[in-house]
Amino acid sequence: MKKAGCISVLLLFWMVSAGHPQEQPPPVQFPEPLSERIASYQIDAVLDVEKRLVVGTEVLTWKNTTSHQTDELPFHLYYNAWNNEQSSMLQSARYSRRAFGDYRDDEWAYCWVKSVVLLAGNGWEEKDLTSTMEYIQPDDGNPQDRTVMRVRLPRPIRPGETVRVRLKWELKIPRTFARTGFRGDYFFIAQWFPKVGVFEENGTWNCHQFIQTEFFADFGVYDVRLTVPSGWIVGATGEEIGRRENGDGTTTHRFYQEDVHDFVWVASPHFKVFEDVFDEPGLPRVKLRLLLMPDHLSKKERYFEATKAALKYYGTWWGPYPYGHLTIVDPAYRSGSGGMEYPTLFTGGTRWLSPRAARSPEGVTVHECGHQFWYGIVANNEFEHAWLDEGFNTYSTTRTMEAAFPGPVLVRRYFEGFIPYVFEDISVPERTARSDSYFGFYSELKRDRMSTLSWQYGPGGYRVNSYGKPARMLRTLENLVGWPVFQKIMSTYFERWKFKHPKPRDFFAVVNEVTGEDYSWFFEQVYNQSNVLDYAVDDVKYRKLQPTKGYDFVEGRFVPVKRDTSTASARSTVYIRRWGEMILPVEIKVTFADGDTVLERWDGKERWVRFVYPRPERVVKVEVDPYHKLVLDVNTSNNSWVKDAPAKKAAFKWATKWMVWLQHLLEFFAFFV
Amino acid sequence: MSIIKAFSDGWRKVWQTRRWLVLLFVLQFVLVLFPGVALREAIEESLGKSLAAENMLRSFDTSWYQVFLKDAGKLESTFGPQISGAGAILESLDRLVTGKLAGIPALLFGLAVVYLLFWIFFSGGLIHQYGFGEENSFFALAARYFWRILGIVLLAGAAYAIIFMVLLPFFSQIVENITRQTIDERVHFALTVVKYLILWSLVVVVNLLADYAKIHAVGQNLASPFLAIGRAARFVFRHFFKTIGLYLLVAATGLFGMVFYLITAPGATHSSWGMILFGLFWGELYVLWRIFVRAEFLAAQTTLILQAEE
Repeated sequence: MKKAGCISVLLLFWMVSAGHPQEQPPPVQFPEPLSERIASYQIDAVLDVEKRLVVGTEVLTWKNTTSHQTDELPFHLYYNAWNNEQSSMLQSARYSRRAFGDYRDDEWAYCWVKSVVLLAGNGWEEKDLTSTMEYIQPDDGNPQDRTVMRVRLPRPIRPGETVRVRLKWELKIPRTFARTGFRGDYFFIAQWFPKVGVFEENGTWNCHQFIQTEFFADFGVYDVRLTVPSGWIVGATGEEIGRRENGDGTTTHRFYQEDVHDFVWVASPHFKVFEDVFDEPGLPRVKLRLLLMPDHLSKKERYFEATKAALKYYGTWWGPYPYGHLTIVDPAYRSGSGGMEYPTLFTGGTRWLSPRAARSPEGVTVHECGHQFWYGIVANNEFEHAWLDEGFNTYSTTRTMEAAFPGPVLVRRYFEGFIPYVFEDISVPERTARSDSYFGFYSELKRDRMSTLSWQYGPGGYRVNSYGKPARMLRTLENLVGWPVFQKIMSTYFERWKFKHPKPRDFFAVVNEVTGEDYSWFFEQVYNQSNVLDYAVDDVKYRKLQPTKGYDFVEGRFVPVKRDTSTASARSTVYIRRWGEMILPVEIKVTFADGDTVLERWDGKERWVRFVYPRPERVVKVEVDPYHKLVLDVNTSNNSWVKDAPAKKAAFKWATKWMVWLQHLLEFFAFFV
Repeated sequence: MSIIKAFSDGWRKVWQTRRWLVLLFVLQFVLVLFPGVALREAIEESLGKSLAAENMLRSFDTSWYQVFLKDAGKLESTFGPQISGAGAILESLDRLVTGKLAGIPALLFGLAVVYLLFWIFFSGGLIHQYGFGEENSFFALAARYFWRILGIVLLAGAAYAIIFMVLLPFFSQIVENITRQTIDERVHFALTVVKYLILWSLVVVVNLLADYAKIHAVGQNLASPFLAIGRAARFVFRHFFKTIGLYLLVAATGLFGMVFYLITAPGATHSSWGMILFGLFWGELYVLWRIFVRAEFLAAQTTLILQAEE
């Protein structure tokens, strides 16, 4: 037994270090690398369905592209965020109120690194680093958090030098946490392998604990072999370039992808596989592979349609999708793995009954496919600046949904959420994205500055500052500079920072460069402060002017005013107020009784402004920001004044509807007597 | 003895007591009028002179609504776009089916209790007139039977409470356990349907027994609710298919009316006074129809008992 075990280990070692000589070498996807390929991985992983384990070996090839040296390698062990409830993630504001009582003991997780070996080559001698392994907590010092591990090297890695290390590990797959885990025989395996941090130009490692954000990693090449039960469907980052039946009821699938920064996979016997092609003039062709669960077969075309819409509009507006293939995963029911992005693969999500008006899977598909651009290609640090992809992508999603699909309407779900009902005549605003619900937007906006590092956001701060506020910020900026200029800003930023790691200042610099103006005043308020924007019509006065009485000073003496009844006229006065602390230039449209309109502009610097109109026609309507440019305005219901607003009639209409609803409610009570 | 005859005789009797049913309707209308007026004022004040008023007249302004909700009390927070058109029924129907009817603000729950007391009061008079003569004034009859019918309703209420507060969570937990690893929503849906079919079978049995108990309490002058329920159980057991058949026939009539209203209920987009008033009228007409259907249960079931005794 022992001898056989030794032979197996040696064989595995030889296979990993020699790269499976019996297999074809992977095809070159990009003759000219798209990225610096700093961190590349060869991984062999075996799924044990019964024990819900993944046993794996990985070889990391890491290149120091900075001008600094380092004598350590820190690794993310994301699965350790779910060892137990003492991890920093489950203690965080975002998760601490969630109960895990329904998790059984064997449904928690771990990532157990059993050995780390420095491999010979490139000027290095082989050395076992296992004894140098230690868990570190760079963010909060919580000793119960094991999501970051560090190994020490025998000497520093010098600038330009490459190092190879082999890690062996065991992964316990949880009942889904944070979109990875199992449900029945559906396994969605994300953030799974020990993953090296990012060594930044300032000579420090960026390797945060896994607390409440998403991720950050360097680009590289992934060559991954996944062994799963034969007959199971596997989806993964990259293209499947080989498949081998092992003769023991398992099959090894080999996936390969260049110039990505993560690798994810999913396996289940239940998937139905469909293929299609995105073929749009002027954009690269993309092969689409859809893995669909059996209860969502009717959503096949809708998944493809939404994916193509995202590839088309993002590709046209921002920049083309370069990989040539894309896998869409329809997640299993209640698997908790839906609505998430990974390089060249994303998960959608829908319900068995989901009418088109519900825009599910369309909305989530566009959004997650859109992350291929904002996150996948332009790869910001999601630990620190999640808004750079989530906000950009939320903005882009709403734009794409507006361009490609009918506007959203109210959809309610009944009977424990199984049965949807569409209120065709009640539309819901699109452009404000996730904060269109207003709930908490006003107050939560004040809890954190957007510039706070994402992992440090307080309760409720992450969502509003990563999604809603930045999406509104971008839409407002678009409206201020105009679409052509804004499109140029975004495409310039995309082109300049694709396959790199931009920071907020890089985006601000592009805005200033493209517009030729300094927009610091804008970002200072929206990004660096937690103030809100709220303009309002304060008051509108109309006064008929009486003939002037009293004295006038004429030729050095006071004389009675000459009465001239023909000059008797009227004057309208409009007061506009700024209730919020944020100051943005605003337009005010004033409409008079004769239909004439005046468009005023106000810089908003004072608390209020008055516009006086000495004319006989009275003002009948005032609209602050009439073209809805300032999407950041947190209360648009105070932005207008209408002389004869039909408030009484509207209130009567809706109050009577409510009464009828209440009467029916009482009648349902009457069922019981 | 015929279900159809009991059904049709029942309708005839319901029509004969229409003035009392209309009175019940009026009482209910007055009951909801007060909170309705309060809500109208709250909406009007919130809309003020803004463009949202025009939007709300045309359809529904969700941006304004979020601001309205921010300052809304518990009563106002029950108002929303989901109460328009078919939503007026679906929202409450969903609450009824899933046992969440009581999860409403205390004020509305209080109104419901008052309305139930009206129904309990009226039931005695109605049942007496449906099968046992009109020798006394309606209100005297209603008063005579009030306490005994209240007793039956309270006993039935205890049974409903057990069904919805004990059995429903228990069944739900079973379904959750079974579907813990289910990856197909249809399986969960099917099991949920089965769950509610079982649950509602029990509800119907209790409802049926309570109705026949009320009729026995009036017809046989039984003061004890336990005795009345016992007699009702014996009657239902002996005439099981007929009682169930009649119940389902009346229920089907009610469902037919409900579907018709769901299809025809005015939505959110009408803005003229004519259409607003028509919407109100149509909604009220359907409420009245529902009161008539509820009375038809009692009338038809009374007829069935009388036929059986002949």
